Order: sequence, then C-alpha cells, then structure tokens
Amino acid sequence: MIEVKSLKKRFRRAMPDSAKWRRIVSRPKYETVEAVSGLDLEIEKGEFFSLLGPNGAGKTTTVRILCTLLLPDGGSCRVAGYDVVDDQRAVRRNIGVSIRGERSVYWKLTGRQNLEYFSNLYGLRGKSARSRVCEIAETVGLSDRIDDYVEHYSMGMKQRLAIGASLIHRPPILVLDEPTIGLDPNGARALRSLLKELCSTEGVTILYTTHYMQEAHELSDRLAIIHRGKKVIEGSPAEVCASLGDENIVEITVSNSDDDVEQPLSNERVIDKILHVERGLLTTTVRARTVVPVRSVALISGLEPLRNFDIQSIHLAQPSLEDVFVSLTGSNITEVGDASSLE
Amino acid sequence: MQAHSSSYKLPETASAWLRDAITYWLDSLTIAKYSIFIFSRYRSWLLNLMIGPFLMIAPFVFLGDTLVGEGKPLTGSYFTGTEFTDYIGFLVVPLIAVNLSNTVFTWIGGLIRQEQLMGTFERALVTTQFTSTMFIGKTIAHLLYLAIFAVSTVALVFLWVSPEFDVNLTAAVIVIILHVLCVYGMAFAMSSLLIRVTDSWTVQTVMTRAVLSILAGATFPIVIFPGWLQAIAKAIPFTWIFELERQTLLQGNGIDAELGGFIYVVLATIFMWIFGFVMLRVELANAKRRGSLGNF
Ligand SMILES: Nc1ncnc2c1ncn2[C@@H]1O[C@H](COP(=O)(O)OP(=O)(O)OP(=O)(O)O)[C@@H](O)[C@H]1O
Ligand SMILES: [Mg+2]
Repeated sequence: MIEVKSLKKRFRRAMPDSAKWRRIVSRPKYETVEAVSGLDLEIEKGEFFSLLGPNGAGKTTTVRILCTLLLPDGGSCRVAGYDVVDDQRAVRRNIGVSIRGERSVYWKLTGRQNLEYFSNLYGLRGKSARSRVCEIAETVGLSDRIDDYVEHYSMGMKQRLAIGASLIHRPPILVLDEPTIGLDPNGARALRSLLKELCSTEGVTILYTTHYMQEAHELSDRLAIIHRGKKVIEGSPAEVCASLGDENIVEITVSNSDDDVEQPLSNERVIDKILHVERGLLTTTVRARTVVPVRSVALISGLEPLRNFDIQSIHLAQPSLEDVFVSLTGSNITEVGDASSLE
Repeated sequence: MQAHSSSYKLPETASAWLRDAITYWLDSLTIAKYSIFIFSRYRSWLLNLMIGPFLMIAPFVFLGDTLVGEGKPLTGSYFTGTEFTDYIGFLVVPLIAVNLSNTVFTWIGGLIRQEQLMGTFERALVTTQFTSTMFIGKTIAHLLYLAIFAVSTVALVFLWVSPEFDVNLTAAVIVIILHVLCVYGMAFAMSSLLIRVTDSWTVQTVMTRAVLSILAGATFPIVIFPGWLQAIAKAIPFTWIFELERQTLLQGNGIDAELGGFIYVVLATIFMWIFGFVMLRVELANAKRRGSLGNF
C-alpha cells in the first residue's frame, strides 16, 4: 500500500551570520542538509508500521512527502498505487492524515462544525455526513463536548478531534505523526485500541510515528528505526529486539553514594555500552549492554567498580525496543540526532 | 466502519469532468459557509463593516469642505483640475472603492497566511481536491460582507454629506462588477505570491497606500503628477476603474466616455485571474519543493 524507494529530501537552511549585528542586514548564507537520504520502505495492506527515530531523523519529512505536502528530491513513493508527485489528488483521497495534531483543526468552530466541514469536503453531505460525524465523535470519545468551541477544548481533546477528522472519509491508509502527544493514559489507550481495530478488522494500513517505545512495541506489526535520514533497522518488534542478542542486557541497581557508578562501569571490558541511567531518590539503575552474553549474575557483581557500592539488584534483562533504539542511534531519545549536513 | 475498496481515479470521460466541476462548486460553497461561521465569531465585524469605512472617508471630506466648498479659497483650481463640479462625489466614490479593495486584500490576499497562522493550512491542502476552491469559497463568503459594507457606507455617505449623484445605471453596474472581478483577481494573485514573499503586510500596505490611494488618484486628479509618474498611474487598472466609476455614477456617462480604459481593465482582470491560478500552482509546487509551506 505504501512503497518508498530510495527516497531523498534535502533542505536549504539559512545560517545566521556569526556577527551579532551584521546578521540583521546581511543576506544569510545557506547550508544544505539531507533530511532523508535513500530511504526504502514497503508497507503491506492492513499492516501497522511504525517509524521511530531521534528528533530530526526525518520522520515527519517522510510523512509529509507521503501526503503530498513536500516534493521528494530523489527516489519514488507510491501510496495506494498512486505516485505522490504525479497523482497527488488520488493520493490525498486515499489517506487520512494527522500531522500537526491539535493545531490542524479550526479553533473558532465547534467540534461538530469541524467534522462536518471536513466530511463535506470529502464528499459526504446531508444526512450521511451528520451521522458519520456522530459516529466519529463517539469513536474519539468527544460526544459530550462535540458542540463546544474547539478553543475551549483541552490539548488532548483537540488532538482527538484532529484524529477524528482524519478518519472521517474511511481512508484505506492512515498516516499519523505522533498522534498520542498530549493524550492522557486513558485517551492514549483508547486510541491504540481504535487503531488496532481499524487495522485488524477493516484492513486499514497505518503508518505511525512515535517516541513512545512501549507504544510502538505493542502496536506495530513491523517497525523501522531511522537515523539521520537512513534506515538503521527494520522488522517486527520481536525481531528488532532480538537484534541485540538475547542475553546481552544487564540492569544493575545500586544505592546512591557520593561516587558516580556509570563512568567506571563503562570502562569495564565486559560492558559494551551504557544504554540508560536512571537516578532515583535512593538508588541508581544502570542498563548496559555487555560484550558477551552474561549467564550468571556473579560475573557482574564481582566487577571491580561495583565493590564500593551497595548493590540492590542485578537483572539479566531482555533487550527492549528502547535498548535497540539507544544502541543504534547512539543517543538517548531526548538528545538531538540531527540530519547530516552536506557542506 | 468500512474502508473504501475502490481508489479515486482521475477523470477520463465527460461525466467525470462534470463530476469534478460539481465537486469544485460544492466544495467552494462549503468553504464559504464555514468561513462565515468563523468570521462571525469576531463580533467586531459589525463595526468594521458598517461604520469603519465611513470613518476612513470622513477626514478627506472634511478637508475638502474646508478648502473647496462654496466660496472657499481653492474652489476654482480644484474644479479646473478635476473637471468635476461635485468635489464630494469626486472624493467619495473612489474612497469607498479603496476601502472595499483594502478588505479584499486583507481577507483574500492574506488567506493563505491566515491558514498558516492558524496551523490549518496543511490539513486544508490535503483535504481539498482543488486548492483554488479555498479562494473561490472565501471570495463567495466575502462578497456577502462586501454587500453589507457597500450598502451601509453608501447610506452613511448620503445621510451625512449628500453628494450629487447622476447615475447611468447599466454602465455603473457593469463597471462595479468589473471592479469586483478585478480586485478579487488581484487578491488571488497576491495570496499566491505570499506563499513565496513572507513579508505579507508590506505587500498589502504598498498595494493599499501607494497604489490604490496615491498612484490611482483616489483623492486628486493624476494630472498633477510629473509625466513619468502619470505613465505609471495609467498602467494601474484602478486609475481607470475610479475614473469609470466617477463618470458613470456622477456624470451619468456611459462606458464609452472611457472606452480605452474599460478595455484595458477587462484585459487586466482576465490576466489577473489567469496569473492567480498559475501562480498558485507554481508557488505551491515551489514551496513543497523547498519545504517552506510552514514559513511565514
Ligand atoms: N521545512 C524545513 N526547512 C528546513 N529544514 C527542515 C525543514 N523541515 C525539516 N527540516 C530538517 O530536516 C531534518 C528532519 O526533520 P524532521 O522534521 O523530518 O524530523 P523528525 O524525525 O520528524 O523529528 P522529531 O522527532 O523532532 O519530530 C531536521 O534536521 C530538520 O531540521
Ligand atoms: Mg516530527
């Protein structure tokens, strides 16, 4: 349903003059960045596909190209069999899109007016539009607030309305860019089960981007992690997790002390990479990848740097999606892994 | 719920073209309807449309009264320059036109910018089948307001300053329709241009202040300009539109009083509309290539 072949997209970015005052009058210099560089994706009908990657990896750029909001610089994309450059109208009819979530609906209208407006533009009119609007309001859990002005909605409600607006014409393909931002746990769970249902019972194809690893793991049939515009891994969540090796992750919890635990640990030969450090009030937990599979806890507890610490627990953990993410993109998820500069 | 099984096909037959044409107009009407809903949430529209324009005209009328009225110092020279005996009419007719055009430039010329500011532009682009329905829809909505605007302003002008109208009805109606078509065409072209030019208010200010109010000679005869400036003024359709409106509304003349100007404005209007549609396509494609749809 979605076919992306060696997709490329470059942006020209204005570089401000380094001199503080000169930048007001001088023309900016430009730098070219490659936001997407040679991406291949193949998403089958009825598949739930997640696109993961650090900030600036090129997820939204890819999504925008797929919904005809950006033109690619190289490669080709087909959505529902239509080319995103040559058949833009046909592509747009076949996808439901939510990109800027809460900002993408008219705040000065009521929720119902918004949904009616978009359903009219999708060719539903009169009675069928009205009943479809009620159905959607029910689906996204806004029935009791649907006649309020959107400006009075909470952020999550606006987000849900935006998702409702993307579903209104029963598109065979849904493209959602970080749709669970701002949703409360109930709302996010409801959305997840809605999307799962759309996918499994109605064969809707879904392309999804998120920064919530748990969510991606739970929902996706397949997923891809992209970094600096390139795909670094692709597969089912289980396959992707398995890529780190089955028994290479340890989770060490120690009581807090004045000394730092992660720095000396990372110098140990058996520790390949520190994946995550979580400092609590009383304890610090370090998640690390080891060079070889670890079969016994004693190997870890005997490590020199841990001698001075009060060890609370050591787990041999299954690698999670987050571990793979961190290990492949070389950064914690909150750090910026920006697109590569060409100049 | 049930997913669409068949995909959308581009039209190949006459009936498919007809269906597209119907879609085009229905979509335009939908956009018009909801634009009115949005606009009516700003209660100040009553003040803006009914009293505001008259307040803009009033200072010129007072100035005119001071200098050019019965037995006032400049009466003779003003009449010689304008060839109009009714100085209030000479001022008021184009000033109403300037104010009307100004709201069109704000609302239609700034349309894409408003959608960008609201954050709804991208959704509007993926939802509409034909992007230009956004303009046609907004134009239909705006025409309703324009009607209120025109009627209330003319009524206030009559109540307060009572110019001596002598109307050639057929000719005046034709000229006013042409004026409306020309100004919306220009706003359409302007809006497309503003996808590229981010300093939208500058464009609008130049259009209203420099072009409409000064170069087109809204409040004075352009013969006072030096020769080269007169040549520029004569290239602006509004110069001819104002002149045609004065002729048909104040002098009772037909279009033949300024036939050359009339033909020029017709051609300019056709050009503006074609330019608007072409610019929309070109600039949208450019913005999609550069990734500047969200820059404003
Ligand atoms: N319109 C634009 N003009 C210039 N550069 C852009 C534009 N849009 C994106 N970029 C650049 O392209 C790169 C990829 O951006 P993109 O928005 O696709 O990242 P993302 O993966 O969606 O990140 P995030 O997780 O933060 O949403 C970034 O380096 C960004 O600075
Ligand atoms: Mg993004």
